[in-house]
Amino acid sequence: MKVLNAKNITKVYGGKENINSTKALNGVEFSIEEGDFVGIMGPSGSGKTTLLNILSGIDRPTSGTIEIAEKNIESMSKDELALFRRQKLGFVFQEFNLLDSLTLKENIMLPMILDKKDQNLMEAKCKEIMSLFEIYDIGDKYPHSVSGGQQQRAAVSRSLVNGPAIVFADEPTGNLDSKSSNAVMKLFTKINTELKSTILMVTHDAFAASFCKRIIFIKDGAVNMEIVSKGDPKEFFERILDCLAVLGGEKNEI
Amino acid sequence: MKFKDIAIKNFKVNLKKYLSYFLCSGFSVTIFFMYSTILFNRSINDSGDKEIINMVFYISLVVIALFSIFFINYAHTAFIKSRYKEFGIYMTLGMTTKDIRKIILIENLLIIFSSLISGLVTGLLFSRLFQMIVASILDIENLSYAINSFSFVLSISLFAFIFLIVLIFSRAAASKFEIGELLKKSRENEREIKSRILPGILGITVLALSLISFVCISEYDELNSNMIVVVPHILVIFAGGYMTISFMGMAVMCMMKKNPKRYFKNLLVLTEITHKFNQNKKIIFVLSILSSMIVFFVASPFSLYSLSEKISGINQPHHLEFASVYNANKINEQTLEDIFKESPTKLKSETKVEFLSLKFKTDENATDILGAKPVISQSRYNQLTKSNLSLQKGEVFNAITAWQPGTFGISKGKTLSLTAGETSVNFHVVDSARAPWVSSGNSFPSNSGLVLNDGDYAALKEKIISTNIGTYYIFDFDNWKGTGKAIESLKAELNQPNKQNPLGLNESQKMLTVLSRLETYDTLKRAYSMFMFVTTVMGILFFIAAGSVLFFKQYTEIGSAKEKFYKLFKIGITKKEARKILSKELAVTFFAPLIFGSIMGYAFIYFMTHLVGGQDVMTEFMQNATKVVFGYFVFQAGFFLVTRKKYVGEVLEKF
Ligand SMILES: Nc1ncnc2c1ncn2[C@@H]1O[C@H](COP(=O)(O)OP(=O)(O)O)[C@@H](O)[C@H]1O
Ligand SMILES: [Mg+2]
Repeated sequence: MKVLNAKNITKVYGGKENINSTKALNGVEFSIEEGDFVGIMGPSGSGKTTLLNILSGIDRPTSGTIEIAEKNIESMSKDELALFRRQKLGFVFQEFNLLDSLTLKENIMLPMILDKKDQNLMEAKCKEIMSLFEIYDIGDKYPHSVSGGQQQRAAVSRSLVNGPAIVFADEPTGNLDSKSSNAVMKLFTKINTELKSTILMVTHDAFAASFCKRIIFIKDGAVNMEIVSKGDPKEFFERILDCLAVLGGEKNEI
Repeated sequence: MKFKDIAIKNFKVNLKKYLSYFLCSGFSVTIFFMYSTILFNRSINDSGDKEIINMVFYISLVVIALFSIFFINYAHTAFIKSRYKEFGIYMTLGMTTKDIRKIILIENLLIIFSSLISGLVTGLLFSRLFQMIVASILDIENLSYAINSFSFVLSISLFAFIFLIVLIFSRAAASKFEIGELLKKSRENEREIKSRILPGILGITVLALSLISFVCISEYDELNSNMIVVVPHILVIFAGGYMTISFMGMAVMCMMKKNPKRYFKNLLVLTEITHKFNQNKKIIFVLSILSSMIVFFVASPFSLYSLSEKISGINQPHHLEFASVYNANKINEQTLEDIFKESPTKLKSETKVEFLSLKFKTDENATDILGAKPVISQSRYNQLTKSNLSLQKGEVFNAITAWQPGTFGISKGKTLSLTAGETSVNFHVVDSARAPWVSSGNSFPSNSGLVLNDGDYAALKEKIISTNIGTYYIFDFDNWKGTGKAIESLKAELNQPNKQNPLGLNESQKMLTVLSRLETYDTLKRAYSMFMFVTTVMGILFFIAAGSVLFFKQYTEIGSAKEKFYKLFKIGITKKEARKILSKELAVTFFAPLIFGSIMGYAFIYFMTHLVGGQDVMTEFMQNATKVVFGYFVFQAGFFLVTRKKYVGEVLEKF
């Protein structure tokens, strides 16, 4: 079953007629099946963040249609979108996106709190996920007093707490050292295989991308090519590097 | 590129930040200058009320000067704080604190000069209008517009001094800058809130107890005029207020946590408000103090003004009266009758009360205006004041009539010696307290009157020389507002040099004046309108200060609030929910200081009213204070709505 179906998405920043306008996306098209773990790669400025924000309803496309869990999100109002996001989608961001004023546990509960869920349900769900990710013991700590890796694990917990149809992750390892990156990527693999969560991850880190099942490369605002893992991360990593070389620019930077 | 170039370049980039600092300084200069032009206006010095007007403006200037110190210093601090990040980056790139200090100095000099000059120019432009308004408010007839160079000298030197102080402080602060600190401070990371109930409970307990105790001591003359009692009370109230502001949020959060359902439901609002209070406790405290000042300074004269008629009735219970003693104010019945016959309003009642003017002595070395006290017999006193004193032989009651606090050296239980002619007799003071008197305390000027047992009174009267036996004349009319003519004729008659005083009146005699409700009322009204003018200015200044402080606070918080709510937006908060949270937070910041301030303001008004012996008008005073507080809330609500619209609009821009 298709969880996400994006058709001919374009995004122009700064008005269509304006000379200063930027065409960030130019007819992106792809779909994601339930249980998939898709990576989106591309050079810096190729429109990855823009694409992710549009797919997740944070930003609006200039044209095109997006269907998530059989709902057309570009026709929803802003408030409907907000409700949809907290009920049906999960998010992990490069900068963790945790509120400094709340404890990790409170941060993880936040989507459920916003949704006025039952207290006992929240506690139970929270305990289950936090135990799984080994952060239950530090649940009462505040974000600035734990490590980046722990913050990101809390963010991943939060993205899963409402049982989302799909989890969006934008450079989830971008602010982490290699050890924490590795741990967080293993976590993604775990939720993908064990919890059957569908994940769409944007990254420019080839190592992080090698954990995915499928990679879509975009360049200049459009899908350039696509590769599928055969199950061997090492081999997949090599192929990703090759693709990046073909795509141009970024190989030397990695 | 030299540092000077960098500073100039920055000046252009950071224009908005400079602008608020510039406006605050310029505003202070303008206000001060306009007031000073009146103080130095010669034509006022030629007018009748010059002393009181000079005093009014002198006090106003001092207040404005103090206000300016606070206000400019605040604006400057806010300005420097808003640039921590920038300085942090400069220092990362290798600038020394010396270089930063140089930049701060150059920028400050530019702002100071431009605000001083534009403040003076604006003041000059508006001073004509201002002088006209003042002349009409204060009823000064012959005020001609004038600008005196002293105004410039005074304004420039005052503000040069203020700026110098501000600069010295900011340079001292800048030399302690650390890169890490600057960058961290600029992020204003929200600190973890420790969960403690006790300090919050303690704070609110201290506040409540000290307020109650303050209200209680207000009622005792021995305590309410004693600085050693009053000052610590005020300090403890302030300390309690500060503790409450700092810790109450934590305590509420802790208590809420016991009910997880409610706690989680209000989690965002609660944490938001608690953090805001924690970060801004100093500002909220200052705002509370400012609010209490606004309430106090605006409510007191407003009450007094609207109560002039009632207060004049209290201060001057009878419509017309005078005391005849020491050969002064001698008048015969026929003349009096003639005078009142011509009065447009009819004489309703006439009372004559005999009293003795006696020299006195106490262990506490008490003195009085004329060196003597009026003494009355108990039976006459009870009859006229509807009291029921029963004094034994050798006892005296001291009835305090002055509005100033204290017992004037005559204390309960002590001995008071009265001298009549050659003999002195010791009396035991059975009580010394505020009490009614047969006549207004000022017809025979004294701060209290004495009541004796009838026997003692008669014995003393025997020994006294006849000129020291006096009479209070007390008249009431149908309508006191129509007594102008009678007052005038009576005064003319009494002030004529008479047979006993062919050379005119001596100093004591001159003090035995004719008192009337009408004149008391006119004087009060005039004095209160002056008073109101000064304090309303202070109230407005404090209101502006409080408003600017709030504005700066919100302005500096927009960035972090935007960031925070964008985070919430991404995980799916709706605009309505976000607006609700922001509204609640803003409402608390706007109204909490006002509530604290009003409570303190009420306490101060209650205290002051007791201090000046105004218990009789307490109810009306509190009602008027409530009107002012209500008005203040309405104003603040308007301010709140405008700020909310702008602030919420900007914070939720991306929604
Ligand atoms: N808010 C915006 N306004 C205007 N242009 C933008 C905005 N956000 C991104 N862009 C432009 O769109 C393009 C794609 O940006 P982005 O999606 O952030 O790339 P990536 O995440 O792949 O590095 C870039 O050229 C960027 O400058
Ligand atoms: Mg990006």
